[in-house]
Amino acid sequence: MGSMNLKEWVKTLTFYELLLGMKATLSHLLKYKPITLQYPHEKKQLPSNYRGMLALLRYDDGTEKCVGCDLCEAACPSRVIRVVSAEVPEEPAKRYSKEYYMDMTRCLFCGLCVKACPVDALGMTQEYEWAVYDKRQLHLNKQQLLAIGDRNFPVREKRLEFQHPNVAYFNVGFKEIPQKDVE
Amino acid sequence: MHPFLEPIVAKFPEAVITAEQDPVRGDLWLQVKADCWRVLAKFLHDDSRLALDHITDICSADYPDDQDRFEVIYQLLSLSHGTRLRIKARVSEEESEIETISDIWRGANFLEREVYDLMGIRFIGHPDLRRILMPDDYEEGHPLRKDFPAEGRGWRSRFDFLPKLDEPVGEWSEAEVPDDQRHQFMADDRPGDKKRTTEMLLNMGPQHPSTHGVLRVVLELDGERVSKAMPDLGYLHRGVEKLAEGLTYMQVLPHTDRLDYVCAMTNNYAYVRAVEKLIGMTVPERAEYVRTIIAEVQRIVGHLFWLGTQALDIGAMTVFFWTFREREVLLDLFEKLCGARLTLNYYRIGGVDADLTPEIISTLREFFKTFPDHIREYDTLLQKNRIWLARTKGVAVISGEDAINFGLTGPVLRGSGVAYDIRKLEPYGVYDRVEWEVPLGKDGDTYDRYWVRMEEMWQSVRIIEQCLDQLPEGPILAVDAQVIPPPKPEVMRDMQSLIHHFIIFTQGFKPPKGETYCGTEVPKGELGFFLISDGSSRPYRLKIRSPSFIHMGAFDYMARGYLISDICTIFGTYDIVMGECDR
Ligand code: SF4
Ligand code: SF4
Repeated sequence: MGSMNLKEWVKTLTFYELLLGMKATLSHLLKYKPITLQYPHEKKQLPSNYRGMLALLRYDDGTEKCVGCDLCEAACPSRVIRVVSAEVPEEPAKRYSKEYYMDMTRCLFCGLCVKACPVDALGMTQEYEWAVYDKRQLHLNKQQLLAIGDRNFPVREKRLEFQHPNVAYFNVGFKEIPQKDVE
Repeated sequence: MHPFLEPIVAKFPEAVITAEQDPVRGDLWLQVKADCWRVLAKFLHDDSRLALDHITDICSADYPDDQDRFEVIYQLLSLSHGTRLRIKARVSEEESEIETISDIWRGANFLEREVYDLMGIRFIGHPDLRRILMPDDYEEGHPLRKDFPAEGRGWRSRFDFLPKLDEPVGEWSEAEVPDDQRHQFMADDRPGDKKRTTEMLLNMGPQHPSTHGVLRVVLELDGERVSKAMPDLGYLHRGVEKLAEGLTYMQVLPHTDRLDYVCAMTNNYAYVRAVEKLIGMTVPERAEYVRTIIAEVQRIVGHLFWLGTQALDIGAMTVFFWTFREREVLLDLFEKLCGARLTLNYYRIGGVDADLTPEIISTLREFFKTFPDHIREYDTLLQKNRIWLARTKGVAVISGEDAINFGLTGPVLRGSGVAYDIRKLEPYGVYDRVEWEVPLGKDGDTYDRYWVRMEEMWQSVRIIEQCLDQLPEGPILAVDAQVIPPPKPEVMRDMQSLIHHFIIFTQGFKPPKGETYCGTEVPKGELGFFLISDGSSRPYRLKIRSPSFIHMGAFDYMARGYLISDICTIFGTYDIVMGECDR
């Protein structure tokens, strides 16, 4: 018991536990390399499912995917999106979004709109450096959103009706439906 | 009738209107007469057959068409019997008053103030009935009433969508506060103490680095000792509960990320669990495992964040950098899993959003190879450090009984030696299929709470490793065409899926009429969601029982007699996050 006390005493007087802590800190100098990134000179590798800036996409023939169905607008929890849909001129069976706005100042980046879009017309990019001086610049229209899509998704999908034989022929002009060969 | 309710009905046959057990969800509830409530409450608290000693939550609901318009809803818990009881009392609009219970359960003090603030029900005999979340001079009524517009009145909410920033700024006048309202933070008149001539009031916050958000505390000081501490909450109040009433059940989920933004995963978990309990949904086994693993990873992330900031508050900087180093690895993992680092939105009603890939599993295993060494590193810096001991031992002591009476939960309660952990009491996920223990403190001081959290990290590692070993194959999302959106590739190929997809995203699903409370053990304590469904696709009322808010209710009690510098320690020891506290 007495020796215990003596040991404790010596430890207290020599700041033993503090020295141990110092030792641990100093050993970090040797043991670890810096793990911080020198942003903006270095940037992180982002995973492909990163939920960044939203974008509108196109098919491989350059047509817009969006069919103006308004589902993204309905699904959005913070009313970011506004879609004005209309019939494609000269093709009454087909619809598209005449106007498409996103107020990115209120977006939660939750991804619900992407989940909601039935034709995968929306995508989330890996862009995150969207700081602006004027909030109005974050109010994006269709052309801007398509441009974001163009620069982020160079590989585009085929048109829906060419993807899979069983596709529900949704929003396809009648003459475009590939006809089955009749024996 | 459930045997637990029998003594109550036998003793108060005229006060109890209904005493029932929810046949589907198992919740016990009583409908009582408002004017008998106080006597009944005393009995519930004192009688050993009930021993409802823990106040979980108080909330309110508004039914404008009913004769007695408002309902005050109390959630009580008996720790010795492990039983929850919900008590509801109706009050009319003309006499929206009910007697206070803040002297029976001291934790009711803040909760009653919240009900008063947001619903306008007065509590007779409440010692300090003031607004708590809304500003004191807020004159536009009580926001949670159904006749209060769900849209705000700011420039962004004038329905016409486009922000009109170029409009001239409206007339702005500085509201004059009448003198009699300025003094609410003044000290009580106290006799005695001849040496004191004037009390010193010190405003700490709302912009103070140690308050972990925007929190203001008015301290009444006697020299450097705190003789009274009055938290002023609500700087971060965003009205999530009101907001949720206008959103479908699925849309509320991303908003829960922003409650406790340090631990978004567990918030998601708490919410989806409540909705699943409401609609009676079971989750596939693999999803349960994944949920448990991710919730525990989040617990480690939360505790690492807490350890770093608590140490930083006290003045130890190194630990902060080290814990953030480890936290970073786990955040990267979250990013791989769901594409975001903080606002994760990963859990789904009926399962989870993405599966654990072999890559993520191996990263996790890799991480746990070195993590124990890292915990030991933190221990070398703190555990025996004399400065750390001096700043934490015997600071902000609260006894087990007091902690229960204040309704504290989580590590703050367990630091006082009370073995209440929802993961053990009402096991969810796969917590009952793995071996782990609930670490308990003894003295109820800051050091014990520190110790409890450090031990919890070890336990989380144990849980995750066992879960990873047991992880079964299978789906990660339940199949229920009415509730869960069908898988994407099917949407454009199958007419029925397309229809369900449209209905779920435009209208949402409609749970049956009913209400339920569901508490989940998050790193900070018990995060509970109380949901009332009127059969429509939006929650009629959603109440968030946030641990930080309730912990702030005990702040005054725990801070009295300590030094100003200890106030920072107390914020830290609660692991408080204002986003959750103010909602
Ligand atoms: S990410 Fe979420 S908040 Fe943003 S636009 Fe899509 S649904 Fe709306
Ligand atoms: S859900 Fe897709 S297709 Fe429909 S309006 Fe939105 S972006 Fe266009």
